[in-house]
Amino acid sequence: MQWELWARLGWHEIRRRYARTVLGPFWSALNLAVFVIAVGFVFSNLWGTDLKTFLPFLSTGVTTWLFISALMTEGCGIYSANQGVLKQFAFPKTVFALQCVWRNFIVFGHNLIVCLIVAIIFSVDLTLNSLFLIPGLFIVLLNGVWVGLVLGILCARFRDVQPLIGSFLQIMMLVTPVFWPPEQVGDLKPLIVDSNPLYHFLSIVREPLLGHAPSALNWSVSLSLTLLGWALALYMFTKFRHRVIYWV
Amino acid sequence: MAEMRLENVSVEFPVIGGSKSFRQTLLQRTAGGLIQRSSSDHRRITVKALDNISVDIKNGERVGLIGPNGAGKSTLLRLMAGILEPVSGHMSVEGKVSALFAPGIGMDMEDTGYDNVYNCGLYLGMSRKQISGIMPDIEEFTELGDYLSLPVRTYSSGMVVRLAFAVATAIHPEILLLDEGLGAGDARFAEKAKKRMAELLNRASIIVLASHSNDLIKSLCDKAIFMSAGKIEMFGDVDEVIEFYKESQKPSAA
Repeated sequence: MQWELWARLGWHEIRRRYARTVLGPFWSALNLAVFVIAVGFVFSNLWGTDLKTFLPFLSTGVTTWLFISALMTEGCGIYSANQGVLKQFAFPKTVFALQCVWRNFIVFGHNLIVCLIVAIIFSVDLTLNSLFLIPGLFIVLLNGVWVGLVLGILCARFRDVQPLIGSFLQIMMLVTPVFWPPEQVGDLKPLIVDSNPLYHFLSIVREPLLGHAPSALNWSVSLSLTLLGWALALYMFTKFRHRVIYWV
Repeated sequence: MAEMRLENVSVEFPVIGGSKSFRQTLLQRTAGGLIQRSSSDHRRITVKALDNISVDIKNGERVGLIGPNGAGKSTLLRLMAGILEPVSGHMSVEGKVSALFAPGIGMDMEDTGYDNVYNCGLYLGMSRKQISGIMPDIEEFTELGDYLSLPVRTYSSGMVVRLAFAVATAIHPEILLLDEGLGAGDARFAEKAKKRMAELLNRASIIVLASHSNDLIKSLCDKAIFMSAGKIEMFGDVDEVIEFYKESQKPSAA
């Protein structure tokens, strides 16, 4: 029963990470809440934007960004971090990718509480558009699996990939409209924002959380990347799955 | 009917990222597998752990693996277990395989005994239901009682061995692969472990046991494989192979 294995390992990893803490995974939500309040207060004054619109925008953006970036950074380690069990047991090599996605989905669920509280305080209009959250999240989860497989295999072989992804995401956090509304770049939006695939994945989760519908461009880019990514993952996985054990 | 057939199987470990001097020292080593340039890419250094192995193990056979350190015994077991894939050659295995290697590697010290049983069981391919099914047996055998609800880091080393042994022997494989002696613990537990091991051995259709103890191999196996530097030197009747192995070791011992 493969799903029993990754489902259990996913929960387990979270329990282990927060072992013997009082708040457990709610630490991550508390962390996020403090961050959103501090940054929200400073930036809204800096730019003279209204807290009522900025805080919901910021909280949903950071929550979604944390989810997406964790899928990439933690996807890097799925094989190299589990070499002990890889060398001890024979089991499907997809387990760790699924475990990684599931684990980060659980963390995302806890962080979502912050978005909900912010939405209630500032009475965000959750409309029927919010239902787009379901396909949006589903697409992000699907992509998390292929990203884990591809990066996991790459990082097992080339240890430079992990720090590379780390610095890439650090820059992308500021370049992607997580903190600033995409409209602010004006005419440069196609160049700066629309060309960034991470923006589209961010939008298909964030926009529904704000009661908006993601744009057709958001959907088409994220869906095509899902297909491309899975094709790449299937190719790499069938070709290199057997080599992973020699690399870790 | 369990059967295991290996045809011209080779295993090469790539040596990734070794510095030049490290590679040079490697090349001067005398023990272990053959260190060479990869056949496909001459800049790559590989350790040839298994070199063109062909062997056919039939239902009911108990095979001992003997040979000096680095002969490829553990690599061969890991290959048979499906953990390693052959680089070249063909391998076919019929029957459910299970391997008992160094017990306790899959264990997490922060987890409770129960959690570890579940995790290891799932890795071994059992379902939660099956694991719940073997739990009374594990409770009874380990005699750990309430300790099973405590993190493993609170256990004495003997208690860890008990738990690891119980989990590893709770499965019922057709093909059983063993690396060196399992066991330890106090005298009373050692006796219990021996009995459990005997039951396990009786249930399995094929056993492959790697060990440096010729006596252990003689008592458990009817056939033996003598390995050296990644090659099979001899496969046949256990007494003959051990005799041949002893002979071959004599000049170096003198």
